[in-house]
Amino acid sequence: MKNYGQWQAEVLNCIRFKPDRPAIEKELTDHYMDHVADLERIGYERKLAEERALMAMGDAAEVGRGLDRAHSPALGWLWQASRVLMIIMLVALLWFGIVEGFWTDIQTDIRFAEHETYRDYGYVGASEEKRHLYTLVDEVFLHWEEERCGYDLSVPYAALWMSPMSDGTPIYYLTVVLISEDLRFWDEAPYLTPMTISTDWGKTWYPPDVGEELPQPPSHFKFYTVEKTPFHSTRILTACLNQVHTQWVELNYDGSDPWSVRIQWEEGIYD
Amino acid sequence: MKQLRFPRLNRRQRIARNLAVTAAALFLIAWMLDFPAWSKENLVRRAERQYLLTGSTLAYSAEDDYWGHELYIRNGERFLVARYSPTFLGLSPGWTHYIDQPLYCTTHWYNVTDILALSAMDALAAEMTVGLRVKNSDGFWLEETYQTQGQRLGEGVFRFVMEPHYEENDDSAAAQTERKLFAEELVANEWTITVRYYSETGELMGEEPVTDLDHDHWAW
Repeated sequence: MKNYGQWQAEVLNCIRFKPDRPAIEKELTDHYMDHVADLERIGYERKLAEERALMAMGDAAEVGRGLDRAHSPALGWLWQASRVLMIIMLVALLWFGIVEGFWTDIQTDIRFAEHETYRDYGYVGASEEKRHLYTLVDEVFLHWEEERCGYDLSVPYAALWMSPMSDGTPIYYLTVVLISEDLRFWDEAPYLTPMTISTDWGKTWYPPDVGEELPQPPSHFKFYTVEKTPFHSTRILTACLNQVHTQWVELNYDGSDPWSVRIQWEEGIYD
Repeated sequence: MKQLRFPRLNRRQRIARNLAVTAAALFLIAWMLDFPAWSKENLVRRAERQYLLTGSTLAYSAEDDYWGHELYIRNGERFLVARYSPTFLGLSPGWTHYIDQPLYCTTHWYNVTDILALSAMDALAAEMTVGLRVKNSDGFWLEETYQTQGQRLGEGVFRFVMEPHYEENDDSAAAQTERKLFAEELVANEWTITVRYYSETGELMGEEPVTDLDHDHWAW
């Protein structure tokens, strides 16, 4: 008659996915030893208990086939591969995120709105401590929306702010909210820096990063990102209009399909 | 306190979990690398979209130790210069520079002996004349005029590399100053640069002075 060692070897030989054999071996041995211990506890002699327990384990070939079906090599290797791949990716994630410091790239791509209304942002071109010095002269709610290069662009709000100089001379400032949305999470929001501004005052000027000299006014032509996700970007364009009493301001973008949006202030706001 | 126990998963469920964690990690890595593109063409499209442009063409792709990895993209009379870094997931996009001027010249730091020019002019050949005044640490002034044929890298993209005038074994102050200039140990104090464009038949198409050199090429 076979002993347990032979029975176990026969069972394990049937299992094609070898990495699982040690775990199966342990499980079978634990089961067999528990059964032997139970039989001994009710009075069986050791040798007899081992024989009975081995008989109860069943036919080695049949048990082996059953276990082989449950431990399919294809599934087993796929599981091993998925485990290795997962570990490599987690190590790479930690490497890029923490060691290389790229985690900040994700942080800068997500920014939540700090205020409920655009007006609450005040004149964002000024530092937070000085924003209370800027008073609202006029605000315009627009419904301008255009689609360009897969981006849904919109301008929902513009405001004119005033802050006096130390001698009391009023200086005017502009904020325009620009929103771009697209489903291509892999694309950055459009830069919009080649944008120009024209006014009824008759001058056109350029943001500094396209290398043009800045005639006065305005100055401080800048974009501030106030809300951002991979699908959405809300920026506030700021510009200083100096002492000029503009009645309208027009943003012009000279891309492949040029667009412009005109912001008209209310009559009599400078009175 | 009740101990938190995870449900025991069978092998299929473990495979699904591992693949889901792998995909999530891959997505986060791709995000950190600004979602690398799989081809230069793809980078061109992404760069032009960011400036709301269409129909751009890749004029030249630099992949050397000197200029790094950059794509010179032409859109009508405008150029876009898109930096990128090769990564294991593809080409990670960097800053894209918008150039809307008839002639744009850039140097590697302040080295005016090697100039890259982007021109809206559709010339097949170009020639550059560079007049320089350089002062060395002993107060010696080197005044030289270099003339060089541009290497046409692509449509509107030329590279002008000057050749030194003095022999390597020349010990004169002028030769030593020139060697330092070419080794980027000295920078030109004054310069005047002119570019001349030639057609296929060798006819002079036009001449353009360089009014501004972009020394901050690497600071983009």
